[in-house]
Amino acid sequence: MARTIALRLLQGVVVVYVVVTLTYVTLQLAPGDPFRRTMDQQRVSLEDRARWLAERGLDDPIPVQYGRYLLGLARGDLGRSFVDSRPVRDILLEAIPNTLLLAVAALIVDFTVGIGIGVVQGTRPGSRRDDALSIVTLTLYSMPVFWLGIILVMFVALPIDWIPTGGARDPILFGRQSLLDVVIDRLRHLLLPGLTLGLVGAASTARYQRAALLDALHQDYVRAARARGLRERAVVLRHALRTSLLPVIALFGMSLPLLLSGAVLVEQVFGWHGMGWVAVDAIAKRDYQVVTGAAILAAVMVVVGNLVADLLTQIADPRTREAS
Amino acid sequence: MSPVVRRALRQARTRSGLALAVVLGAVALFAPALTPYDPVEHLDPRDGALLGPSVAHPFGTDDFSRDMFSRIVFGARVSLTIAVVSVLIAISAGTAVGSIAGLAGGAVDAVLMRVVDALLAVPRIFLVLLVVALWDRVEVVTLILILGLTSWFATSRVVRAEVLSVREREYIGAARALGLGRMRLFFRHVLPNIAAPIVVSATLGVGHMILVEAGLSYLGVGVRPPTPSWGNIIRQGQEWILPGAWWISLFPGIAIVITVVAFSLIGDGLRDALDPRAR
Repeated sequence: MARTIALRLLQGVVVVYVVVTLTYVTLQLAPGDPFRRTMDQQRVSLEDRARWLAERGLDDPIPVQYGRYLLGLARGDLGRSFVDSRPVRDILLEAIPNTLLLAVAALIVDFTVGIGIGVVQGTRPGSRRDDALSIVTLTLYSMPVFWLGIILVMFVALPIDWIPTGGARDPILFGRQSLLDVVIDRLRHLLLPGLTLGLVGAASTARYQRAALLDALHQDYVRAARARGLRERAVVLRHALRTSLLPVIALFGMSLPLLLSGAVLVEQVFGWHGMGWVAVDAIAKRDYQVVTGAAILAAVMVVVGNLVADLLTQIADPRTREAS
Repeated sequence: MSPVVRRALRQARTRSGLALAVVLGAVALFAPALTPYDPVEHLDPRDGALLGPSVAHPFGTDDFSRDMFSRIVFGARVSLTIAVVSVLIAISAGTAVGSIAGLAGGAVDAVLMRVVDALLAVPRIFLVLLVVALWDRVEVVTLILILGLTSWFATSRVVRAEVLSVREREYIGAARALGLGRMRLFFRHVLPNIAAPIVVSATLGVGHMILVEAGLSYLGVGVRPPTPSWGNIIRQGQEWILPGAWWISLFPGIAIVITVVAFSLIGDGLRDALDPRAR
């Protein structure tokens, strides 16, 4: 098992390296130089321009810059913002907790609702209940996540005073409350964004779980369990469901890119200051360094998430351990 | 008609998806004939702004007094064109890369697939944001290219796997023994045999692309106003929700859901017909 982990880790490092190199190439493809992008509107002398570029090492040969970029990244240095010269790492570090909080909330909704619906459907395939739920999941699956967020704001947050329409915390009271109030305040703000992102994800999880359960119910060991006279409930819960959860763990890894893409949109709807919000804000300011940093960070999260999903599958399923 | 298509059409949901898609296509095609007003005209800025749905304006008007029904119908034209053309680009690129990797094998295959792995690891929206940021203003044509060229990765994986399995079949060996050129071998014998999964991936891809384009336009980096796209109308409507104008954001979202459902139904139907086990 240690060898498999090492191999996966190595693959992850290769993926991240290629991502970093590709973003670097894109950065070089940007028309003009960073100087033009950030100081276009101002009248600046050629000397100032040269000094500005030299200070940032932007007049060195490309391979030198690339090497320095890689070395920096290895130390966790993502460069500085073109706009206010703050280290990109600091800007992102501020935003990561919010994105993680949103992602965890969404994953909880995603998997509880998704697996729940999938199991209800999978135990009675072809029934009216199955068909009705299929329509629900298809509709959710086809829904723009940001639109669902706006609809929830319209029909839930506006009529109910207690539920905020946006933000990650109360701007006035935060920090002056007891710990319990702080927790309640954060959960209150998290409710709609988490629900929005989670429900859209739940649609694919439900489809997946339904198929996995149907597949498991046709296996020999389930027939054997039935033949031993076990009650249907026990057959489904103890035998079929347990194996059908395995592919769903793998789904966790696969759904991460989609989750993070969705988070960008949900963060925008609710003014939730996470990574996606920061990236979109940086686009508006043409702050390319920040956009690049956010994209690299998102890719690292996906790679790590996949690694975790892999490990979980190996721990949960002895068969994969022997196979590898 | 291929047996796969016939089997897919036997299912009611594939047929309803197809019917929906045909209607949507007709709406996009005949938009000028279907709309009572010009989609970008400010009709009556003094008295006609932010009117709720009525007989004259079934979907209301926006803050510029533009007719929302006309904007959403023309939005179908914009959003569908972008989605369909960019999917065609993505599918062609994915088929090309996947076939090259599958047929060449060795180092070419290894390098291409590592690049694809990396590109798949960057969440789609982040990837598109990276590329979009290279331009100061993104025109629709540029947007189509960007969307197409950032969406072929998954297809290339599917195509590669198909090519790998097809190229070991006996008829390929026979064709090769007959001395067929590589291009001819590919286009006459390999491509037709991997076409079905490519079509499935394209159909499902149109639905995804509608969502991606809507998302980008919602973020303000996709289709630029005044050109109507469903995503940028939702963006515009969001700031009028608090004052009570709920209709601006509501209707384009419904249009998106219907469109994506249509393409998902067709795509799912085709996929199930292709692989009966997948049901």
